[in-house]
Amino acid sequence: MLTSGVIVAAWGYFLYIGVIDPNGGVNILWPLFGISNQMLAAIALSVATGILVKSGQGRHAWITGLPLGWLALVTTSAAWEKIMSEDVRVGFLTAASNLADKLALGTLPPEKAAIAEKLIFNQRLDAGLTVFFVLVLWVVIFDMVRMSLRHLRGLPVPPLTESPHEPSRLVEDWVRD
Amino acid sequence: MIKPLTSVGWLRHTLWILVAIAGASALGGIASARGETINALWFVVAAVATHALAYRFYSAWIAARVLAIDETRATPAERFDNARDFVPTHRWIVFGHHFAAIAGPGPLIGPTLAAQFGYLQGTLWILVGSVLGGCVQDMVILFFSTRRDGRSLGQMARDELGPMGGAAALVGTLVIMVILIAVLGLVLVNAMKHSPWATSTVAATIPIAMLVGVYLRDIRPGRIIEGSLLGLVLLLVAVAGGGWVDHSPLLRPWFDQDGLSLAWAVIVYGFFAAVLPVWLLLAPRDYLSTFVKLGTILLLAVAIVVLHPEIRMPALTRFTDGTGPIFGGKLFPFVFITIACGAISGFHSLIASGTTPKLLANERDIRPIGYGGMVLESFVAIMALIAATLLEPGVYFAINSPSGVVGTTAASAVATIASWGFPVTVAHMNQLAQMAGESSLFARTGGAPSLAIGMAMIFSSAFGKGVLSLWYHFAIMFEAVFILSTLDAVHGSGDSCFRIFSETYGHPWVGLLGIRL
Repeated sequence: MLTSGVIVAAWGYFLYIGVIDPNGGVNILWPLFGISNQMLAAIALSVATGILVKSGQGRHAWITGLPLGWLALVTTSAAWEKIMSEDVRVGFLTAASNLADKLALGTLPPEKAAIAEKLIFNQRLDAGLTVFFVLVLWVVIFDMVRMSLRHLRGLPVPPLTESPHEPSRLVEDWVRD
Repeated sequence: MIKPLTSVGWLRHTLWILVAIAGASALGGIASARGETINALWFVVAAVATHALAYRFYSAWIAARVLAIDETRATPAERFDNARDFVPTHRWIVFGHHFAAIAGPGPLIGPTLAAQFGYLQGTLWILVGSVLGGCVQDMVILFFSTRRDGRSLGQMARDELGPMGGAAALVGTLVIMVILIAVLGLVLVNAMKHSPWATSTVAATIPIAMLVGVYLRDIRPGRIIEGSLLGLVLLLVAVAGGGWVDHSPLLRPWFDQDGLSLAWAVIVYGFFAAVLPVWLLLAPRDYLSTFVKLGTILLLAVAIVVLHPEIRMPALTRFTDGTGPIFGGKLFPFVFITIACGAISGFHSLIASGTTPKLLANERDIRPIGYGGMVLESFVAIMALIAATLLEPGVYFAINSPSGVVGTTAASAVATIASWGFPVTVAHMNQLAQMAGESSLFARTGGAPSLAIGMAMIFSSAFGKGVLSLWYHFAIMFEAVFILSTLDAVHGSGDSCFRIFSETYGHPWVGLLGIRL
């Protein structure tokens, strides 16, 4: 009950900001979602690549290593642009300071000025989240590469946790409700 | 030793060579077509051929040589069979569950938004990304989790990489779920804003799911197909009934809401969906959405083949330079993060290391479910791309561009969009809105309305003219079912994520949050 409340509050906040944003909100939230989703894919592929190397399939590790490399490149450069770009419509921080300048000058119409503070805070929060996603991504990749190199050098690594082989007893054409 | 080929063998070889030739020429045709329009059938042929070849050869090679799938090995479902979460289940039923869980609205929305760059890059990324990336990810994660008693991605990261990688994977999982629900909720709100028809139809899906839940538990226990068919009929009634609500002076104001009140409604719904018993809302919706999804996708594929419409969007638009109205940013890298779910999606790894490995009866099902499930999802993404790009580009941009970019009045929006070289008129947009049963189609951002218009046009031309409004709201209902069932599924895994984290790392504050009352 409590965890559900915490999770609902967290996504409810982003939903609220997206709804009051005059630019539709999707143009901010969708790239953030894309970056976080590709980050999670990169984590999954890192786990898979690490397991392949440890189980002696190092020469086949490219089947997950190749998409992993591409995702790391794409996610990192997209995150870089979302944080560093000086284009108001791309960079979170540029958009935040642009809006703050307009607010200070008093050039915003009153209905926009009323929500400007929230939008500025949200743009900065999104920039922070993006930095966090990239850090998490590279921590996992770094951990995987370190572990794989140790394994290849014959140093101790966490053992494979595959469960032992047990023969299947299920018959072929069984029917189950 | 090389076996001599039998006549059946020769036939098979010839068939696959023909598939390869068809796929290569369709892809070549898509990539080299310039200036004139291109038929949607080329996209279908390219997608089917690419996916068929990749499934037949690449996935078979991975299954046999890299993973060494072992048919004689007992799966977690067999070893821990408890008739609750570990249950050996027939291959096609597992496929249905797995597909319904991975096929969120991502493959529908992503290609629609990315169509602002044109059709070319989206098509190539969906095809190449899925066969080399997304399908491989889903299959290997499903395999590794099956070999590890159905453990989650976070647990595998901790066990196999070490505590640092494990913590990063768990926190990452949690944050991505928050963002995912927020963006899906926003898409839904934008589709329902000031649309009594859409709002009442979407609202009706909730009591319908509950009714099916009660039916399956108390009235006719276990009759899943029967209950789902009943729900399906009621959903269709709800689509038609929405039109009646739209014209009723009494009910209309109740469902004519602005964005903020709808956002609150979605938030309150999200909380109750998370705390209501699973049998009442989540399980029946899961069955309903599986049928709605598979049925609609099949219908759409048939309609596209029957109709074989021309694609109106250019291969590449001027917005590859980063000035696009729907979202800012250049072609690279933004097309690759905008189209996530149709090509490769981290979200799938949560499903492939969640419920699916606990249901597999045999390891040989890993290939059709892991690789094959993603192949089907990627095909859905291609169909969404077709639905978005067969609209007049002017109409597409008028629906999807926010008022902050093109101005708040219809006249200013039309003028701005025409100045980009995509002519569109206010009269045409108003006529389209009237045919769809909506008050306006300008600045309906989020991707869902423009996809619904594209689907409605395909359906109404293929299966019956003059009922565009019914098809439009059917498509909105279809998208809402995708979104609401993802929202429920994600909540479930959010809770377990908290639990694993507190069990693993034992931080007091996380432990406190992890208590379910």
